[in-house]
Amino acid sequence: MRFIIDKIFFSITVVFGVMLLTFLLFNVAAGDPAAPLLGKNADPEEIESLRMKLGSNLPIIYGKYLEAEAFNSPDFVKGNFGANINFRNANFSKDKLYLVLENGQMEFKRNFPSPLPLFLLIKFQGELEINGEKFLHDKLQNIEIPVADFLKSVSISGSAKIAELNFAYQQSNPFNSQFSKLLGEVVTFSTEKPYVKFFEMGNSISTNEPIKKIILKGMVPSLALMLPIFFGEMIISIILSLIACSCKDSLVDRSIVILGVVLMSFSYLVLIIFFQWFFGYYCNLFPVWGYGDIRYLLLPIITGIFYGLGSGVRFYRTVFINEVHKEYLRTAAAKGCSKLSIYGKHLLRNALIPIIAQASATLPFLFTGSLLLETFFGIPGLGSASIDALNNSDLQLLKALVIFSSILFVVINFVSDFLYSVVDPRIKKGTFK
Amino acid sequence: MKKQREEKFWSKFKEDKPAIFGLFTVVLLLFVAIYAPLIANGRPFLLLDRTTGEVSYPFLRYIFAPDSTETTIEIICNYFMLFLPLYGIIELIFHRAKLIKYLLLSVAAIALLIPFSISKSRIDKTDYRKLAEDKNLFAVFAVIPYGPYEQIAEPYEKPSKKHILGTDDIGRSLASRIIYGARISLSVGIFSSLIAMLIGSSIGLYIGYFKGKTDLFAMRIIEIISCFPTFLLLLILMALLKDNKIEQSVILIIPVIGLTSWVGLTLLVRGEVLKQSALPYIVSCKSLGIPLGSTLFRHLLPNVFSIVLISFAFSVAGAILAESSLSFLGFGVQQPCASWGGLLRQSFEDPLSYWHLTIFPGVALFLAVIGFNFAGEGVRRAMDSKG
Repeated sequence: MRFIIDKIFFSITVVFGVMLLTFLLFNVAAGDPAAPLLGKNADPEEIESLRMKLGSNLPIIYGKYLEAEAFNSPDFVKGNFGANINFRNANFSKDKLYLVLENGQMEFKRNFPSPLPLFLLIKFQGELEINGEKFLHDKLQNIEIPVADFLKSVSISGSAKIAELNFAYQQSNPFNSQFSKLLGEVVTFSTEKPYVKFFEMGNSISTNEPIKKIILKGMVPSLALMLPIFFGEMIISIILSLIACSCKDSLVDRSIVILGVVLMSFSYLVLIIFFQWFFGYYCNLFPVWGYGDIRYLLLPIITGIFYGLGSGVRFYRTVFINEVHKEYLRTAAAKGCSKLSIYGKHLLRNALIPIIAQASATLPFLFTGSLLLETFFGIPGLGSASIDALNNSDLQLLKALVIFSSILFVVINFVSDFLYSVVDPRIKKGTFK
Repeated sequence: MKKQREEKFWSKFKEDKPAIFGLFTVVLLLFVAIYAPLIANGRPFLLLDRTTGEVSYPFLRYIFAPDSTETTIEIICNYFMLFLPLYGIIELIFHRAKLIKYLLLSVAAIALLIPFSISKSRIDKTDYRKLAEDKNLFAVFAVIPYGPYEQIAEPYEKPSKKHILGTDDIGRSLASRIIYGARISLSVGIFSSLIAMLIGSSIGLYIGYFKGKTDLFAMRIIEIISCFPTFLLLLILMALLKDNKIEQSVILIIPVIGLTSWVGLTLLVRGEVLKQSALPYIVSCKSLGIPLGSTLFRHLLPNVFSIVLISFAFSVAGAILAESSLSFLGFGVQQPCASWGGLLRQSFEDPLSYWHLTIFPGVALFLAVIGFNFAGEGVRRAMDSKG
């Protein structure tokens, strides 16, 4: 029991880490999703409403302010002012770190009435008059000035070195951030009826369907494709490698090994094109596009098994060859066990741990396979959903798919750890590693 | 002792026919990739006007300043194209005097950089074949006298005597594109695996040697990373980074594949280092007080190097496959640059009638991958006593 609790705790940490990494990838590295979706000359009000919807104007991990579009802020990265800002005697310094005003003036015009309490955040050194109020700072210093709802413009004048100038909304709960939003989307606990909610990721941008529904809908075809491939590949490659192992170094063994490497070298693309052409068009045995009954699934399943067979055979053969030298097999042979019983029962049982390890390691590769197979056989599973999301740059759906498949993988790891301890009780006691 | 081991390794490797085949294929493909401009090129090496005796070398400029989109890779390959013969000559003459050899080699390597940095590329769309015919000039062309970017015939032309492997979707020579595609595929495979190997083996070496908390922490991070579906991650990274206006897509693919494929190697190296550091030679290194760097790199690394080498071969094969899949889905090498996966994509509309666009890039891809796989398998078998 202790073992299981340990493993569960560990799995939760891994899931948390996965979410942190996904977050870094999608929210920090990818930048603002609103700009590419709406194009270059988008209306500020539109951008803001989309950002509010996606939550991309929230602070990244912790903060009091939300990014605002009600007034345009000067762009310190590119070093330009942008639309709706009038300025006189105001220039960016060469390294774009400061905005220097020499007896100058800037006037910011409102894009649209702000929906939330708006603040002007400014960090400067010098003397400035902001909306009629005078400020004098000897050193670089931050101040926040509330901007009233009725103001249609904000004017700043004087001589100063400005390091930061941003218009931002204030929020009451500083923990309400992009990261906490992601956590909340994956799991939410509440005191009311459903108690726990999973995967409330909102709607997809391109089709406006709930993301949860897309994932649930895509899971059935994906599983119908992946499970037969997984088990078929495992069983066939175990049988082949047992045959190879039982007549080690003979012609059969060597040809199986060479065949394994040859199969490993086929690219998925070539296999898909060739199988579609040969079985689909030439022999006319299977349909090559669509998803309906079992006939549609057979060809992609055969392709998938064929692809994975090579690496499977190579791996299992090495495992079995390492096992063949051991004494218990000689004992079994001396007892008078048949060859089938020696290889099929004694050896297989002792080689179970690496078999489970390999099986759990091939699962993420199955995801790759399903990505390509589903795209080119027209199966509406999770793989083709990810490709569609990529083409539509639907980051929210992609994020959901990545988190979902990682969690799936964590669960598989947990199950395989549990299976290890069933197969070999020494692992549970911690006496054997 | 070392020599003996090497001899034993080679004698075992030579017996392994698939391994020899793999090594041969790899060397052949590398040769084709590096010497691509000499095999397929639209610009003649030499153009001689019979009446005036005027000689020009239109090919020369484009060695130093290629006018393709992926200039960095082209320049690296062209550099090797010129450097390898120099290396061969110096090695042949001065193979006894080690000091002079290394001195000359480094001088040659630096001197070769000069013309590359001076030359500036210029777009040249002259059809030299027509020019030579019209003006009755004497011209020396490459075996395949078409560049990979030149539109020279109707789209989807079948293989014929004029165009050995046919043409692609906008009428460019397929043979030329496959040869230049080898440059892209192999350099993506090799360079991204080098990145993965550097990261993977150094992390593996470090955490395997120090064990304890470093190991525990790093292993948790590795477990988190390995939970991500690698190929989807690749696709997402490519899609995200593509917007950043990087013109040379190959320069993007190489680090992206490299940074997503180091985990397996780290685990392998770590396991081996854990095994080795319990052995007497490492224990005595520690008790003798040999500096850490020396222990790690002079004593430990050579003993885990075989594992690194084997998985390098397999990782090149994997990277080539990943690149082709990426390009096939349209997230990898961008047009007009030639890549095998991109060529396969063109045939996908109708693989039956565009059979030449399926088979030839497919065979090239298969040969490259199987070459690296067989070579890796051969090295593994030659080093492993159990077989």
